Amino acid sequence: MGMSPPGVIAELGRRIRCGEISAGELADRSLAAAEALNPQLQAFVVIDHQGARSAADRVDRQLAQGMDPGPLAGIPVGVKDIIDMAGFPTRCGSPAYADAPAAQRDAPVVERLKAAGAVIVGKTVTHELACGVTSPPASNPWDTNRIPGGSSGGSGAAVAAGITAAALGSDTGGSIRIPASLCGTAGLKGTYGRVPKSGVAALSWSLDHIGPLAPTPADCILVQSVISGFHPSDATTLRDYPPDGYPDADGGLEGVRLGVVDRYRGSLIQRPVAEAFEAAVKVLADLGAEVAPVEIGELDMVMEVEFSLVSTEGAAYHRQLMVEAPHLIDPSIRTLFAAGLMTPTEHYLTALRGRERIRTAVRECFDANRLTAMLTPTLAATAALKGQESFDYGGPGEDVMSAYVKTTAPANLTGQPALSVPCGFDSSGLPIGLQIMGRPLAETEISRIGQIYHDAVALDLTPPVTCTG
Amino acid sequence: MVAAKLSAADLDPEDWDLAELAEFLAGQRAGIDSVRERLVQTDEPALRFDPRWE
Repeated sequence: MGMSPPGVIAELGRRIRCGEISAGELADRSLAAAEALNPQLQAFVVIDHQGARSAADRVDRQLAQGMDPGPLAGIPVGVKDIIDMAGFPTRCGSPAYADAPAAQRDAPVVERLKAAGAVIVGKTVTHELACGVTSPPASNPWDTNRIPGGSSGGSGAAVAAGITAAALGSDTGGSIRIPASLCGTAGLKGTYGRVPKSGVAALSWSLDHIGPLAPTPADCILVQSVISGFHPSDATTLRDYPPDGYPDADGGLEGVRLGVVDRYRGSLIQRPVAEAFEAAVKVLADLGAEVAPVEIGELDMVMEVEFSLVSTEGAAYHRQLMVEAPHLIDPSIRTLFAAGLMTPTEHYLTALRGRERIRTAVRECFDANRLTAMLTPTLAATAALKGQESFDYGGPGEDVMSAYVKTTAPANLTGQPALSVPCGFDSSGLPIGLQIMGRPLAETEISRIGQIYHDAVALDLTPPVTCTG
Repeated sequence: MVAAKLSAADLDPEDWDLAELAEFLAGQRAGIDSVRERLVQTDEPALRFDPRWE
């Protein structure tokens, strides 16, 4: 470990603890930024002045009494509006929940944030039912005519603009990593089962993950370490595994072996994205990593398997809404769920069999090539304009959903941890992301690789719409 | 056919664009057929997903 831990949160925490700034002052700045920028960004569905001030005052009192308020003491955080926060409705970006009652209790991830001293500034915009990649009405701080990505789009916009130092998102096919890549932040989807999902509206139980978006990989792993761990309310949370640790970003990448997935290097990808990705691979090699090209034929099945599972599991979760008020669901989502209610059981089982085949193939690739991690561009394209339906790569194109999900969904199907870290910009100045996928439970290692990369390239990640400009 | 399937799922066919839904179902069917073609009989589903490799 170096002289001081890396990351924006660690630095803010240091300043709060040594009295350079109080948690109350930081909360006021964050709340003011949220109010000032929300007309442009639409990142928040609710800004919680009273709760944030109260949490910040508690941190300041504890510090004054010589107590330790926790690892996120005084850190402003956003929470995606599919996650229960006591006293606020969980509206899931859906008209169907416009009149939802206030949640009676916090989801375990929110409980853990609060217990760690975090100051929750508000709830962030989600794509409807967390089932999409555009997150209207939220905007991208790099260009407000463009989408922030989704489904955790408000979280991406809030962190990128500097309103909060972290935000929680959820990720079923890429919904943490997509806004992270498009908004120029880091985003971490941990291993399936690391973080409890109870108190969070589901999209697809077996694919859903909760995790952080934050300025740097070190920030992400710090938040992840707070929210992860077994919880009795979620039977899928893992027991008996090593806890997340803080990455030692002073070490090098000697001994790290990285597999570069060939299929994402050539066709169906924007040229600036491909160039930024190749440059990132070279940086990692220059930092001491061994790089090996790899290919996994089973990844051909990713989109069919992913959407078959989401369709069926999403339909089961939302069945009552589908029966009673289908007109309150966006037509594209409604159609997906209707298909899930009508398809034979054998189709679902075939998708599960395909998933297992993909998982086995990825594992075998890691073992055969002795990989520490796998690299891909996080996404094939940068932020789409609002209303844009497809990308034209100068040849065959593809729809926006496919362009964003084909690279991220594999880690949902395998349950591996996957991190997005900014790696450059296109000619319009829009951020590009690098995805690092690790072995199961290797969140700390991929965050270490990501942080070393982040420090080496030292990109200016301040967007035009920001509270720090 | 699609209307009958909707009814069997407790959905009201009058709420839906049947042609659009039929097209979507056909696409999804083709997708799952392509997955099935890659599998062998001994490929088993993990009915309770565990991400760990060891």
